[in-house]
Order: sequence, then C-alpha cells, then structure tokens
Amino acid sequence: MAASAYWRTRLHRYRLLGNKCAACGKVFFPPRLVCSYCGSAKLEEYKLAERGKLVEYTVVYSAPKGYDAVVPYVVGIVELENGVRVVAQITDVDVNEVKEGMEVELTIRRLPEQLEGGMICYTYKFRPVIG
Amino acid sequence: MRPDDDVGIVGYGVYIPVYRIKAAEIARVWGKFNDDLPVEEKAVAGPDEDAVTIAIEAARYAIKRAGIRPDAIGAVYVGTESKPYAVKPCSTIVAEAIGATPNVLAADYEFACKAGTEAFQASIGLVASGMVEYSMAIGVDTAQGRPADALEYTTGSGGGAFIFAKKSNETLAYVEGSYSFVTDTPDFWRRDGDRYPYHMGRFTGEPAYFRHTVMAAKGLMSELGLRPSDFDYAVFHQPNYKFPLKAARYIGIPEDKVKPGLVYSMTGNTYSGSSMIGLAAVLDVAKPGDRILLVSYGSGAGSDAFSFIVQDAIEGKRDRAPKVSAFLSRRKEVDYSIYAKFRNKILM
Amino acid sequence: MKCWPMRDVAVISIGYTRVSEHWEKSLKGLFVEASLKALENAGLSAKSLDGIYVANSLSGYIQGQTNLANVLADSLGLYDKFAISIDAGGASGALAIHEAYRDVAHGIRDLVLVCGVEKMSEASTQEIMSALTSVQDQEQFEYMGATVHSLAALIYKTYLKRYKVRQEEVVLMSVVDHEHALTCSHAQYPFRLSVEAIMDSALLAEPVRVLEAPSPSDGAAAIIMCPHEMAKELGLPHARVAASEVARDRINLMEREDLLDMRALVEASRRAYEVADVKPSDLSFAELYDDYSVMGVIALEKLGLCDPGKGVELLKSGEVMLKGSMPVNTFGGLKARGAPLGAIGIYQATEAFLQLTNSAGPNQVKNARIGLTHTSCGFNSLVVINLFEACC
Repeated sequence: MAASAYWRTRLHRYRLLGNKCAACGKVFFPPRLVCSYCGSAKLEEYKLAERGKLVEYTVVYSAPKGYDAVVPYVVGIVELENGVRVVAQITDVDVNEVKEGMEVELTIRRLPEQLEGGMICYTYKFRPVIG
Repeated sequence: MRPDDDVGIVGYGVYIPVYRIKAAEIARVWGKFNDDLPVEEKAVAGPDEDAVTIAIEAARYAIKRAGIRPDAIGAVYVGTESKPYAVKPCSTIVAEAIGATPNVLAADYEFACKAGTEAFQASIGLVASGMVEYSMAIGVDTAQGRPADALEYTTGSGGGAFIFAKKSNETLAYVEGSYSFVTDTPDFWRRDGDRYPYHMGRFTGEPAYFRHTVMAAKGLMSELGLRPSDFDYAVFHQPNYKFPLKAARYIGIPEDKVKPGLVYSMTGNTYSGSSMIGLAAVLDVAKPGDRILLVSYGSGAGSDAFSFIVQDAIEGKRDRAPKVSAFLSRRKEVDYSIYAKFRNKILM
Repeated sequence: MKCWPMRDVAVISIGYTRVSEHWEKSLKGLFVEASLKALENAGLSAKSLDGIYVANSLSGYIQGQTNLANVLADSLGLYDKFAISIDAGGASGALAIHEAYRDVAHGIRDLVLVCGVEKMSEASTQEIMSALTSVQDQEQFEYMGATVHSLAALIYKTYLKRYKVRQEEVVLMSVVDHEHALTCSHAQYPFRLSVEAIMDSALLAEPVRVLEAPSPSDGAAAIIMCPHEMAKELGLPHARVAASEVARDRINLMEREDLLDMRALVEASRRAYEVADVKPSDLSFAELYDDYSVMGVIALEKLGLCDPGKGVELLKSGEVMLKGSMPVNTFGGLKARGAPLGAIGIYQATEAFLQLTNSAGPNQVKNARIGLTHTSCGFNSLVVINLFEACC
C-alpha cells in the first residue's frame, strides 16, 4: 500500500469513523460508498462507540508478513455499545487470558508492518477496559 | 513568569503501558547484585506501542476529563525524546487521531525529560494571549537504555496530557506562575543516528539535575513571594528515587509532600512522561485550595517550575478517567527475553 | 431478466497436471501441458479453438505476470482468437466455466478451451498468506492484523458453539478427502490422514490446524466445451452442463447478518437446482470447496445435503464415501487432491467429467448421473455452482 492509500484510510483507523445509510439506517465499519443493503449512495459519517464486548476471538499463530515478532496475537469480533460489530486485534492481553464477554475499549496502536520508506501504520485495536 | 490572564488545566490524562520488567530480572541477565537496584520495576512499552500511541491514549483521557469537543483544541504539542520519526511530528498524528485537525497548531518539543513542561509553557502563553481557547501539552517517552548499562534498569515508558484554558470554573487547577532556569550543561545527550544516549555519570547530579531543579524552584518562590511551607505537594522529575527526595531537602520541602507524586519505583524513569505522571498522581488526590509545586528537569539542561492552585472543579472531573493508581495496578510482568523482543533490542 | 440458454453445452475433453510442487514447470509449462492433453484427448488442434478462457487468481501477485490469458494463448501458438483472463480468487475456475458456458450457449463461440492454472509453490508461506488475503477488500483488511486463517477461525468457533460439535468431528472432512485421494493419480497428497494427526498439527489461528487446510500447490486443469450437437457429431464421450449459477454476498463478514448464513451459497445452489430441475438428494456426488474443513461441513448443509448443524453427522455416517449415498470430494477435495487457487473449479469439473463418463477408475461413483461443483471466493462472498450431467 502506498502512503497516500494508507492516508486515505486514516479516519476510520484513527477514530473508528464509519458511516450510516441515511435511507435505511444500517451502520458500516469501515465506511462504504454505497449501502450494501438498500443501494443508497447517501451515507453519513458515523462515529462508532468506543467500548464493547468481545463476542468471539481467535489466536493467530501463523504470522503474516512482518508479524514474526508479535505472534501469537489475538483477533476478535467486538460488539460495540451501539450493536455494531468490528473485527480487530485485541491487545494488552495474554493469549490464555482472553475471554468471550470481556469488556474492551478502543486504543490506537502501531502495526509491525511499515510502508515503503518506513512509514509507520497506526490502526484501531481494542484492549481490556482500564479502571 | 505570570501571564496577563490566568490560565488553568481543564483536563488531564495519563497512560502507562501494561507491561513491567523487574529490575531483579535485568540484574539476573547482566550479573548484578540485587541489593543495590535503583528501582523495583519499570513500565515497558508493548510491541504495538510507541510515543505516539501513548500520547494518543493520554490525550483521549485528558479530553474525557476536560469534557470539551476535540475540535475546539487549538494546539497540540507533544514533548518527547523517543520520536518514532526523526522528521515528521508526533503531534500531527495525535491531533488527527483525537479529532483536533485541521484548525490546529501542532509541533513536537524536545528538551530531554522536560519536553512536556516546555509544552506547558508554550500552551500557557498561547492560551493567555487569546490566540487559542484550548492548548494540549503532552509529555511522553518510551525511553531506551543500552543493554547492561545502569540506565537499562530505569528507562521506562509512559506519558501524560494536560489541556490548558483560561482560568474559569471549568479549570481544575490554575497556574499561579512559572519560572524556567536553563543553561548549556552537557550531562546527557544522544547524537542523531545513535540508538542509545550517553550520560556523564555523576556529573548528571549536582551540576545538572540539582542545580537547575533547585534554582528553578527558588526562582519561582522568589517571584511569587512564596515559601516552601506554602506548598501542599511537590512533584519533581524522577530519574531515580533518590534525586527527587534530595532536591526536596535542598529546597526545604518535607518528604511526605513529595511521596504522593512519586511513581518512579513502579514505572521507572518515563523521561518526558515523568513530571506529567507525577503531577497527575497528585491531582488524583489533591483538594481544592491545595498548592502544588512542579519542577521538571531536562538534560542539556534546564528546569521548569510551576505553582498550581487546585480548584473546585477537580472533584467533579477527577473520576471521569482512570487515575494513575489504576494504571499502576494494571500490570503484566515479562522476562528479559520478552522485554528485549518488545523493545526491539534483538537484531532481526 | 432470466436468460435461457439457446443451446445445450457439453464438456468433451479434459486434461490436467498432477497437483504438486512443480519446480521444473512454469505457469506456461503447466498451462500448455494441461491444454495439449485436453486437445489430444479430443483429437483437436489448438487452431480449431474459437477462444480460450484462462482462470487464475494470483499470477499478478506472485509471479508479477499480468495479461495472463494473452501470454498463455501465445505460449500455445494461438493467435487471432479470443482470450480472456478470469480472476475471482478460489472461484476463478468455476467462473471461467460459467463464462465459457454462457458464450457457447448463446452461440457466441463454438469450441472453447477453459483452463485454470496456478503456481503457488515458489512463494513463501507469508507471501502466500498475503496473496490469499489479497482477495479481501484491501482498504479494510490490509494493515490491521486479521489473516484469512483468523477469519476462518472466527467462523469455525461460531459453528462449533452453535451446533455443539467438536473440532475432532469437523476435521473428518479432511480425513474423508484423504481417503478418496488414496487412489487419485493427480492428487497432491495421496495418503491417509488421521484425526489425531490433524489435531496434533500446528495451529494456524486457533482452532484451525495446518492439516485441515490446503497447502500451496501448482497445477493446471483444462476442459474443452462445445455445443451439445457438436459433441454428438464428434462422437466423443461427454457430459452436459446442466446449470451454472453465480451469486454473491457481502465481502466484509461483519456486514453479513449472521457469520454462518452463507447466503450466496444457498442462493446459487437453489438457482442451479431449479434450472437443472433436481433436488439435492438427486445428486450423484458433490465436489465441495473445503478451503477449511469447517467450510466443507457448512457446504454440506447449505447445499441441502443434510440439515443445518448435521454436517458432522453426515460425515460420520460414512454416506459421503465413494460407496455411500452422497459421495463428496470424490478425488480428494481441496485438502488432498490439492488447491491451486484459480484452477480449483476446473479440477472439480474434470473430476465431474471423469465420474459422469464412467472413467473415474477406482474413484468411480456407481451410476453417476449428475454432479455438483462448489467454489467460493472470500468465504462464499462469490459462489459459483456448476452442475454437470451424464448424457447420451
């Protein structure tokens, strides 16, 4: 991915910004250009809730490119407070401590992969709620 | 230094990574004795963390406490000496992530461990002048120590963010005044391209840390007409557990007023995060009317001294985000091999 | 708007390489071998073809080779005629057949070669993972750490919990594949595999084990299609295309109402059964797209071969074996015959052809009349169901 392509995705990566269909109300994350339910092209910016529950998860052992130093790591489905579901890495947690139903919240973290020229990728992940 | 208009803190937040390594574990690897270790344990940034991610976490909590819209923030200043990019500001990434862009000033500050309080000074001036309504100052570091060096025991990761605004009922503490004492003193530095810094051993003590810390504190008290006994709390930069207590003795402040702000033994020296986290720890417990002395120290060298008066709003705002104690009790111990992997000390 | 085919279409010949790591053969080498075999088996020359359809997914990514159909047609010495590349991940092969079928049915072309080719052996495991992930929406899926194995794992765990079955029962899908591959001369792994061996193998993404997912492989498979009338004139043993249906579902798994609904699979198979006027129980055999054992089990259910949640029961019953009432993956499926990505759908078609022309040898299903092939891209976000029928 080029730095400019990554830059185009920054708002959904940094702020969990999705969008919502003005016609049928479906929420999408990452954001879409056309509603996949009713076909409307009128989608409004929608900020997803930043807290939720881990409803399913897996532990990745087979490292994709760049991830050799961080396996095993957790990928899960988080159901946010407004019912929207997202797939994301779950961080700050031991692979044998992860539990379905854990309360988690948004955190922005650095990815092990870098773009050409060493540009660093930051993206949403979720971690156990603090305090 | 006193601004024409009073300025206060409208929100604050900290972030300390979850991982810890015990000094005894580092000593085990390098064959040192356990009885003379400078710290109990230190906070270790995880493999997906860096100064930017910690700054974003602290900033988000500061906004929660402040209860303001992120797009009202007029400036974001990040002070750090662990910039992920030599050229590309951390502050733009932080500003974008919190939603302060595009109508915002952003810059990174560097002054070793006092980069965060440099950002304080700039924020105070900017806000007092009326140029911006809110200015966020962040001090954060994921400092690195050379393997087997004394600093490896103590270089920790963490940070804090403070949002400044004109003094009002919304500010939880206001700045009575500040004083900076700066000279060209080469106690500790890192050349561009070098992985680890160089420090001048015992030279970092009297001519560096103590001189600047004490002179800044004395200069502040003199300007404001205050005495050491006027302070309820004192927060100093914490490179180890001895220096802040000794500085307090030099200035004439009793140890029990320094202890609430001392987090060093659990986080290590978080460099630009140190004063921030210390101040936050005090704000977590202080009462309206309390006077807080904050004296940071940055190698190279200089100290910024501040006097804060806590306001009523602290009671309502303090619980909106996790306190320093919540971060301190959130811990996962790692051994040296995992620590080295996390901190990229292993050549791949 | 429903398009009724104007002509019946037949498959008159097949040619294929073994699925293996073909170090000494390039994409061209594999393609030419399979294509020449298919032409030879039909007694036809390349020049008699009206066009070729090349199915491939990863040549651009792995070999840096774009413009593939054109380059491969050139390698066959085929000029002046139509050539097209079709890419739809794992569904490429079946989609290419779909395209060729439509063109022949509507009289656009008569004699066509459809060949799927893929060469994955030279890429590292990590490159393969990136290549497989490239079928997902890159803006969402790149640079966030989820791998295709992790998505499969999320589906897997959801399935295990909902139907209260154990992984040891689901992996029987791979065990069955390997049983059928024992006598398959073109299989990548013609040996037995036990549940214990699978459960002992390394984890890809918990609970998915290495030995319940296919390994990277190379291979090319080709079929020649023409109008049914021409097949009869040529006097070659042939099979008829009874139906070819394509359906699609949301690529982002989180946009699907339910992770397990696999709507495109249900819809494509429903339409195919309707067009061919058959019920699931009429099928003589089914070639499933089991890119993970759990996806094979889910396919059994969604294709109507058993009730929801009863996939493992069907596996355990033994009815899916060659001598059973519902043989499945008759030459080893994706796990044991192998899965050179873009070619899978065509390997399935060649296997269906062998069954329906009574030339499947030791893998022959008795009285094979009608068979189904299922391919998927992106966990059934694009599904192609091709039904083939014995005739004449």
